[in-house]
Amino acid sequence: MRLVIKKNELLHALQDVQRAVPTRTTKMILYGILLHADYEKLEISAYDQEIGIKTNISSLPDQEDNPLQIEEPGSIVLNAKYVIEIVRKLPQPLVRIDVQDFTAIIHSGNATYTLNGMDPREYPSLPEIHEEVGFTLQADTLKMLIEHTVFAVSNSEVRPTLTGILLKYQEGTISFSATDSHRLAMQTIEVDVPTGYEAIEAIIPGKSLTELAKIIPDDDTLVNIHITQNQLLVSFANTYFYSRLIEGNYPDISRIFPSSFRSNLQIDGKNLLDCIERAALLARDNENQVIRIQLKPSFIEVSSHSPEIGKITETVEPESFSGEAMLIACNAKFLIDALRALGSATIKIDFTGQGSAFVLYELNNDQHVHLILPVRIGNI
Amino acid sequence: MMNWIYGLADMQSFYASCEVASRPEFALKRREDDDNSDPALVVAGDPKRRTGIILAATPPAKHLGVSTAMTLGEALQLAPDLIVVRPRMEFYLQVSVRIQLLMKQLFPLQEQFSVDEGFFAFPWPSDLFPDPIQAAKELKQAIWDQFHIRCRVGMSYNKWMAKMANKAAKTMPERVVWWTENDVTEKLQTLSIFEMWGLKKRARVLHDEFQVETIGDIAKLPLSLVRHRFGVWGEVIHRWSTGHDASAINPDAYHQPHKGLSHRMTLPRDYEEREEIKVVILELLDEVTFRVRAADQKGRRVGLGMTYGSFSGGFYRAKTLDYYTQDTYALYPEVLALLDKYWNGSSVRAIVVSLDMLQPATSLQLSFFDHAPKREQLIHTVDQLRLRFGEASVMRAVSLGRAGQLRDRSRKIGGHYR
Repeated sequence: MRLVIKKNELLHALQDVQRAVPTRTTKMILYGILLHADYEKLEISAYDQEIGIKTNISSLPDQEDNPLQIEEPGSIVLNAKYVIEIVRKLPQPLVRIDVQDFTAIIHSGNATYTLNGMDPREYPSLPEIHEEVGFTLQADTLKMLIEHTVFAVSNSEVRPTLTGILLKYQEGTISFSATDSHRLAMQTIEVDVPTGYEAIEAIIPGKSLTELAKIIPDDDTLVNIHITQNQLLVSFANTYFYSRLIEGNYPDISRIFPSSFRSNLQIDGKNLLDCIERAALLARDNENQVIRIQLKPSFIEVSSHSPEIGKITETVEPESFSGEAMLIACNAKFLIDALRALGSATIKIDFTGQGSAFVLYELNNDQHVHLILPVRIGNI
Repeated sequence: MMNWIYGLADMQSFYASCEVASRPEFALKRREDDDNSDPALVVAGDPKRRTGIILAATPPAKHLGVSTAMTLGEALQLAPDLIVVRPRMEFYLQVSVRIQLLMKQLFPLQEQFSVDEGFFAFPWPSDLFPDPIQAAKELKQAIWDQFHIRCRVGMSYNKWMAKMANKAAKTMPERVVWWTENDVTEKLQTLSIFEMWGLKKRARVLHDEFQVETIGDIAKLPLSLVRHRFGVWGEVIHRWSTGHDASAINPDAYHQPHKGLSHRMTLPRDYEEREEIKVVILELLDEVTFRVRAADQKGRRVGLGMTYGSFSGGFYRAKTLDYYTQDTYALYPEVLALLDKYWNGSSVRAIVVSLDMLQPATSLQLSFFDHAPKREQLIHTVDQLRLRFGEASVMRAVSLGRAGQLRDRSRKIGGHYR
């Protein structure tokens, strides 16, 4: 393999792909990034057998600012940590890479690195996915779906399906749901693009989507999503993102949405978030990060205490309140996560009682919903 | 200025004494002032097997050359007429608790130090304890009157000196010793470093590397040298050698909230199969969570450790969860994940399961998919059954299989039969 490439193009590709390099593994080869060049393009990829990322840089000899000139095809696996550090620090905007057997010589300006590589034939190949069926979203919409839900996935081995986000497509809507069995976050969107799927459900590991959200652009770039029996492929621009799907049945979440409410509240999201964050300071060390919310017709009192540190009480005024007065105790972190996702608009909270879930959503927008189950304290 | 006198009372051949004192044929002949009024008796790990270990021996048995930790076979070769009894751990623990209580009644401060040792402290000078030697003798007499067990008492101006004075009391006819600051040079510092409590292997190092013979020789070494060789311990050892020790009596040592709990089990044979290892892990985890619940706590870091066959290598790994729990069901999958991640497939000799980062349990997070309060009630009910009717009264079916250790373990304390 012999080629000349623009340093920045190479660095960006390496940095994106690096997210699929494991931090700890027993297989040395997985610490590497695979570079493979044919006469048209350079493919840069990494695959830890859970997440795979591939980026192509095309050679465009007819264009004035051609990013890549390939003199001889070939491939090599280079240690991710070193190659990225090296490329980042190269002195000139152009890089020459010459590969002989399993050694890469990297030239830029007067700097020459000779890097020992690994055998590309030992590197695992990415899953093969037929791309005939799929749907398309804007990158920023996909990012929003992930960011509004991914924090609620479970980190526990008790129910492995809950460590993923449930992607559901049916009747012109796509929804992302996540729950750790104590709170649930759900975002739905309408899609009018025709798709090849009748209806589909897939459980995508939360970790994969967290990484995906970091590499998709924050604009209206179109993103194609393909789902097979056990693989997800997301492609955009020149990048392909693969993830394993979680096997098993996601619990039926439709039945956990309460249907009748005893009290409801409208309040400025930002004010409530600030207030909860202040109360949470003293809840940090207790077992369930418990804060208490006393709902009264004229005001809401938020409090928390820590036997060794002290206590805090704060009142906030709602924009409106109707129904019964009640005391709710819940995990402050769950509430903060939900309020951050909902943003600063007016939000609506429906309460069903001390022992059942309360529901948070933006006023007049039931497509973005959060459910939180209270904590039982003492005798309540 | 008022000072405190610290004392350490140590029961003589505790397990063996419990046996002698509780058997009328021996107890009636037993005298406080005559060790030879005891039979030559030993408590042995498993009297049926000659490979059993001697756990305790009466003074006459010791005179015949028998010592603790030798095998029963060796002991019987020295003394064929030895009376051999099997341990009754539960009984010894009951006696131990009552002796500690007795000490608490006699002195303002008391701290259990081990199953057969307890620290006490009283102010000096004071009207209540005008004569320290007399106070110690009264303690000895009270223990003899109630339990028919002999003890020796060392007293001094701090805990460490009391421990050393206790050792010195071994050879005194009254078995009571009181050291003051004036005794450091003549009585403490003349002792061999191999008599110094708390040194373990460091005594050998001090002897071989620094030509130290007595405790006084340590005091003569420059502090920096000892600190350089042993780190923080060097500083402690150096202080001890001049009779200094700042540790206080902690009457609540056994009632502090736990920071972490663990259970370890050495298996009767090497386990090879994941299925068998799983059973023992579950049993250990049940024991850990049972104790955490009994203390009304929850934990969020769960750990698994293994020692491989013939004690060669192993691992200990832990995972921190997002939430606190005291429920085996929440922890078991996490421990199995640790097993699958870190076990290299070797045969397993010993297993340890731990739960730490403990917090008081004050609230209950409800769940969408489980009825959390009902589940809590169920666990509580099983705990109550096990408390009232014994550990083996309710057990998991897997524990009845070949791999299960619970039934056997429930009959033991500290690895020996109740």
